[in-house]
Amino acid sequence: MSDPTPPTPPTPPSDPRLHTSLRRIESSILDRQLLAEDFRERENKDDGLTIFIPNWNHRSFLPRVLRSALDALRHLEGEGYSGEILVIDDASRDGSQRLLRTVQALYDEPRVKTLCLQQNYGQARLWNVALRTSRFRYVCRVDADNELEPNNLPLFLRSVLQTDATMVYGNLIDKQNGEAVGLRSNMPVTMRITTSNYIDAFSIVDAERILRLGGYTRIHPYSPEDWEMILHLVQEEQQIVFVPAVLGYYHIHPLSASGELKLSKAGVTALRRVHAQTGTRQWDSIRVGRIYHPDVGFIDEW
Amino acid sequence: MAEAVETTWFKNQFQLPIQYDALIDVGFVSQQDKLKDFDISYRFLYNGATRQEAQTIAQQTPSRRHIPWTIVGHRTEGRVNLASELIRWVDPGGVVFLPNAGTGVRRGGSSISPLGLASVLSRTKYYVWTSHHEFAYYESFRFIEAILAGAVPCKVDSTVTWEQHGIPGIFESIETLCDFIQSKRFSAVQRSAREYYLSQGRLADHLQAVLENV
Repeated sequence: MSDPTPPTPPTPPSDPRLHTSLRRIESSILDRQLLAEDFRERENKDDGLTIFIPNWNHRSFLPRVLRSALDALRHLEGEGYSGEILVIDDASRDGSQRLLRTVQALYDEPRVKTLCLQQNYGQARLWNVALRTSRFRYVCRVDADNELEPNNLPLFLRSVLQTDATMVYGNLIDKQNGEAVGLRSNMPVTMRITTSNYIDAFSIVDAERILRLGGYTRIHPYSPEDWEMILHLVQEEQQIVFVPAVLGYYHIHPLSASGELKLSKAGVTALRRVHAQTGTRQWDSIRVGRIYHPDVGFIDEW
Repeated sequence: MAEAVETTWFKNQFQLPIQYDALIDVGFVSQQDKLKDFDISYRFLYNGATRQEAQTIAQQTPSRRHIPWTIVGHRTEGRVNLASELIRWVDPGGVVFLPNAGTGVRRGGSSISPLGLASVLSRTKYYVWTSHHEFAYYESFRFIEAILAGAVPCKVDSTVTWEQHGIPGIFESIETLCDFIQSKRFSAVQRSAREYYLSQGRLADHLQAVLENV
């Protein structure tokens, strides 16, 4: 009986770019030093925009949001702006990381970065990782169940550059089965924000300024960190600007997370305890919400 | 007044302990037929241009308009759908300002200041709207806001046929509006909307005729 034939070693991919990319990905998983080099913290960020896509078990949503982000990147560059896409997977267990490694292999370029965490960080910490590691000063968070309106992203970047706002956001159209069924983030911030969260996390923020203000935090396990940040920005008298254009879409599914916020009463109570202790802040006649369009200038103030 | 007579807010005005001598309805289309059982004398006043408005319109010069279309009003399902379709079929770069009803902090409940709206429309090609309600009503004030800023007024309304009134820029569906925007030259439709409005006579003359009959 002859010896069994030894297994054939895997053939390296014929495309040298793909080969390099795969090797780098493998290295970055195994070698923390290399990972740190690729995703090092940047204190002095370049001008431009990082599209940050956080993901946790949303594998089936990733192709759509990535496609819109790549389209948006092309539009940004078409108008002379620099940009990148940063996807951070928060230790998904649904195969998202495998998909993201494939994406990284296909787009072997510094403009598309994927980072697969092996331990779940939670949304607030994930946000802070993105803000620290983004190459660019402005970061647009796009959740996996969101979709950018690619043509309009340069308009929002122009808005944040021209107003020097800490946060800029715009309309998000709710879509269900491809049909427009609602609208959110559709008005300027007023002190009513202390009673309910009507501004989605899908927005553009100044990473340097947000980090200087302490970054995102959860003051209760079930308090939404994006709402807390808006309340914090209001307290800090930072400029929050509403741009009356469509930034993107929110795809609603039967188990979408937006409905959970209504149930997390303890988290909402904790937020109000910090930012609206007396329960009267919504009556403060403070004008915090400004409406701006780069082709018009400041339009109005609420 | 300038609003649809079928709405509850129109009817609520007459719950107040006020003695009305007459109701003067300012608009482009009379609503007398809908008020047969109404016990207050009804007069229709055509919402024509004032002298100053006519001068403003006559002095307008062509300007660059980067905003392809604008939708302003309170959020309704129909308006959200309209915005979505315009993004899809015309241009994604339109202005969409549709705050929730009752959240505006301005007196009168309007969502945007007149000056703010005028500044947006002065850079807009098409000012598009649908009614807040399902009643057949033409919002003449929106037409005038558009014309004064050099934008083209476009209303989408499938409730009735408007052809007999001759008002330009009324579309029975979003699809016909999109076809119109894509197929017509902006400067031509802008000119024809202006000419229509200026040909309808001055507000002062219409008011004089109404007052003579009160």
